[in-house]
Amino acid sequence: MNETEIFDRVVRERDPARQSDLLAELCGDDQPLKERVKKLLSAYEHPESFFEDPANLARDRAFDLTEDSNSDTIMHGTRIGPYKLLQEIGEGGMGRVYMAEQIEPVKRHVALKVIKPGMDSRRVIARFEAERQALAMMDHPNIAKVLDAGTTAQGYPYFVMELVNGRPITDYCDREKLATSQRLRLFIDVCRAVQHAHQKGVIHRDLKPSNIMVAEYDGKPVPKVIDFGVAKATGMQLTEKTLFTEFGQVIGTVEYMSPEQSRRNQLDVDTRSDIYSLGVVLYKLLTGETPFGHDRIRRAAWDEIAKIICEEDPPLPSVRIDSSASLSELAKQRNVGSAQLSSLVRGDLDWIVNKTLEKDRNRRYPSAGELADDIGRHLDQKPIVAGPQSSLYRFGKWVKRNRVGVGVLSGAGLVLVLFGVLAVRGYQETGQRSARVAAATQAAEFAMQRAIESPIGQEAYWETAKTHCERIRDAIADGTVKPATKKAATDVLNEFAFKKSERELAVQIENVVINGAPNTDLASWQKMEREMREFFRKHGFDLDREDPALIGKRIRDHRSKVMWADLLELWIGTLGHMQSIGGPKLSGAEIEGWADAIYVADDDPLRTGIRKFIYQSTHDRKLLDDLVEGVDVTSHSARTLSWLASCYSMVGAHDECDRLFRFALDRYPRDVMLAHDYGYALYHQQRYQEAARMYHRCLTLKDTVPGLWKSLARTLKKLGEKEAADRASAKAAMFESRNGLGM
Amino acid sequence: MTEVTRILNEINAGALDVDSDLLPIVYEELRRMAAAKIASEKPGHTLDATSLVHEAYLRLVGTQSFESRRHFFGAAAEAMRRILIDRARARQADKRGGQSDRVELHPDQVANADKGHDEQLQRLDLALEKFARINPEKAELVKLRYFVGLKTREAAEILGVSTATADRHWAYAKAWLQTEMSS
Repeated sequence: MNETEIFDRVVRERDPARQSDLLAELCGDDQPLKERVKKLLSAYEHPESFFEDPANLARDRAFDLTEDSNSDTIMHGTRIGPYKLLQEIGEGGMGRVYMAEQIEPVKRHVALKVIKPGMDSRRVIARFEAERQALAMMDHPNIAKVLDAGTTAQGYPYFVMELVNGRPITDYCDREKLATSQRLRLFIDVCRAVQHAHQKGVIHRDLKPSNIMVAEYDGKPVPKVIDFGVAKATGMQLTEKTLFTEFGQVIGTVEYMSPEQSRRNQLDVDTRSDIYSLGVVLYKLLTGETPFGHDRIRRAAWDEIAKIICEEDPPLPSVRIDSSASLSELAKQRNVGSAQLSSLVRGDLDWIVNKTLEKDRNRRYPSAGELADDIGRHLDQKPIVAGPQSSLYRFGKWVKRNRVGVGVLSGAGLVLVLFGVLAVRGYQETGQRSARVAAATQAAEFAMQRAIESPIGQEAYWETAKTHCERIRDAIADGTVKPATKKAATDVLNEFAFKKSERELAVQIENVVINGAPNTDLASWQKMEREMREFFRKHGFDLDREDPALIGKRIRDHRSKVMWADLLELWIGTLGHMQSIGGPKLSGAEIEGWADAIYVADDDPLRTGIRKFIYQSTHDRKLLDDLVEGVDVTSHSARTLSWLASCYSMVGAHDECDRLFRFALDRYPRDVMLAHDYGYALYHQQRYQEAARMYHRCLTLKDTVPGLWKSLARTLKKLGEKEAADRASAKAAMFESRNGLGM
Repeated sequence: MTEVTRILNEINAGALDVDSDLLPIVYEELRRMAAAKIASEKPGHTLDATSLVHEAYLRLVGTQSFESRRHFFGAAAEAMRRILIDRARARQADKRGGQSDRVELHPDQVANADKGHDEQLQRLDLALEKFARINPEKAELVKLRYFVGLKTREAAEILGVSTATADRHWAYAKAWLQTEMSS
């Protein structure tokens, strides 16, 4: 018996005399144990008043937690360590900032930031200490040094920084009416500072205008990046918790947050998150707004914000300027006419901003230095790195750069002058329009590529691509575009129309499969099979009458060959599954005929191999390993990866199955079918807990699909969570009836 | 479904974690509600953690019955513990004068702030921290009783144990803590 059990037993003995006998009996020779229990019993018999009324403890007199009380307690003249507070100079989401006087070892003014209550001081300080070395290595004219950190007498952590008497970069630029090019020069300095910090291994994590102060030294504006190391030390995670109550204060930060930071588990934030935030600052400097708009972010719920940041493409800066309600104000603040402002930004700066704001950080500038370099190139009228390069684009740059030179040359003689001027002007007119069409074409191509790569269910990119295409269509409606440019633009429009229709088909197919496949009853599968066959028929493939071999050939020659081959595969698989759950038997000739058709339709070696494997009667891991040998699996589609992983699951190679699925999910994180396939594999490996998690993942992506709820319910039942399973089943039934009415 | 309900679901599914995903929200909500209460009441008014937590539950989770009340109340108890301890610690520091110069406090606060209470609260917290390492489940019960002010029966229901068991655990925990605090 252990201490607890002995205590329980003895306490239940009402007779004091019996108690000590019992104690001696139960403890035996263990004197220390006996002593401990004795003490416990004595405490039990003579409780202190403090313990008597627990509810009373939960009442705190002077339960005053308002932020204001915090400011009341720190007033002018208060001393914190060697610092004397002089005045409050700001308030942020994390705390208040004071101007303070340092007395020892040198007398100087510093900025002191007191972190508000609610944070674990010891951890904040420990984290700060961990980064102190790196912070000390930073030495850059555009970085405000972090000097010290500590804890106030009240237990709040504080940070001491070099005092910067300036204003946030955006305020400064607007107030001083800095032109776009002047803003860019300041911004280059900021990039260089961030680059310096990155080289010393320090990531800022909270770059935003209020952390980039501009002060004037000798009449020249100098930006200073402040708060390096603070976000890391305070472990600031911007999720619901901060948004929940301090919306107003934190929202400024959220607008500058990268997609990877907006996700719930922000485990791997790296230097490229800072690049993204810099991009938002640049966007604001150019357009006066953040990419998704302050008001929109302010009104959105947390989930929506994360969705916006992770999925939506912001309008190009030039487009944002054109559509701005306060264009004249914007232009005035940038010391330029309303008509010119967007043309200053259109093109290069659009591309540069776009590249910094890429959702996929691999596509962003690899470093702040390179971002600075590209802006420098733009200012020098040299070709930039961002955006696709084309000879037309480069040539346009060359002409612009040498325009003065062209003018001087043509001044050599009257004829030459006339000829020169006419020629140059002529070039510029069609040239500029063509260049614009060409740029729009490239933008559309870009957007389209991204849309094609984006998983089903995430259709925002298609909208962006569509907008770009409409822009091209408008631009080429005018006849003065060069024939070659026009042809390229038309090609892109046709390609878009085709890809878009292909995508719509893919979405329809996914709906059919995701609704049907999670069911276990024959009727549902028969329904799914009918829908697939109907789908084929609608697009000119008659599976009932046409010869399988002929269908195979037609698919092989089809423009959307992979998609149709996939669907044919799914259809055959469906027939097979129906047979196994009591559906009609397939004849040998039928099986062979369709298997041949598939081989004809799609001759990719990996997929052919997978099919062979599936139709084989014995399943052996070795066959799969041989199949994968020398194949670049990473280049394959979500479907193919899923099939391969499921094959490994079939032969019991769970490790390989996990590896492939995890890789695929990493690559296609929002693919519902993929996640469902993994859940299905886990379920059959009897890893129900993980399967449930995977189904939850599916449901966060798409929570209106009855089949997914059914899969979850089935898994929960296996886990013995009957109530939860019932709720999931009820959800399935609800969506089923709703879909029955609505679709 | 509220945000918190969703988080509770995900905690159940093992995708999220009470400490890092739920606690911060509950903490902030309780703190904010407490602040709002104080602002609307007379200075020195006594605040009732029990009703505060129940109100927070209604606001964040809603009226539907929910199997994960345990996670919620566990987080709420931990949040209240932090809030109460933080406050007690700050008042203690103020009274000692600490390193800082004289700090203004509302006269009512000074009058009401019970020094012994604050000190005991902090000692209890230290003892409880130790206890939680040895007996996490009993410590959870203690937190629910002390920092949320729940009755044994209520706490038992939330923890999914019988009232008798909770009574036994409570007796042991109380004795253990008192022994620890007087040693």
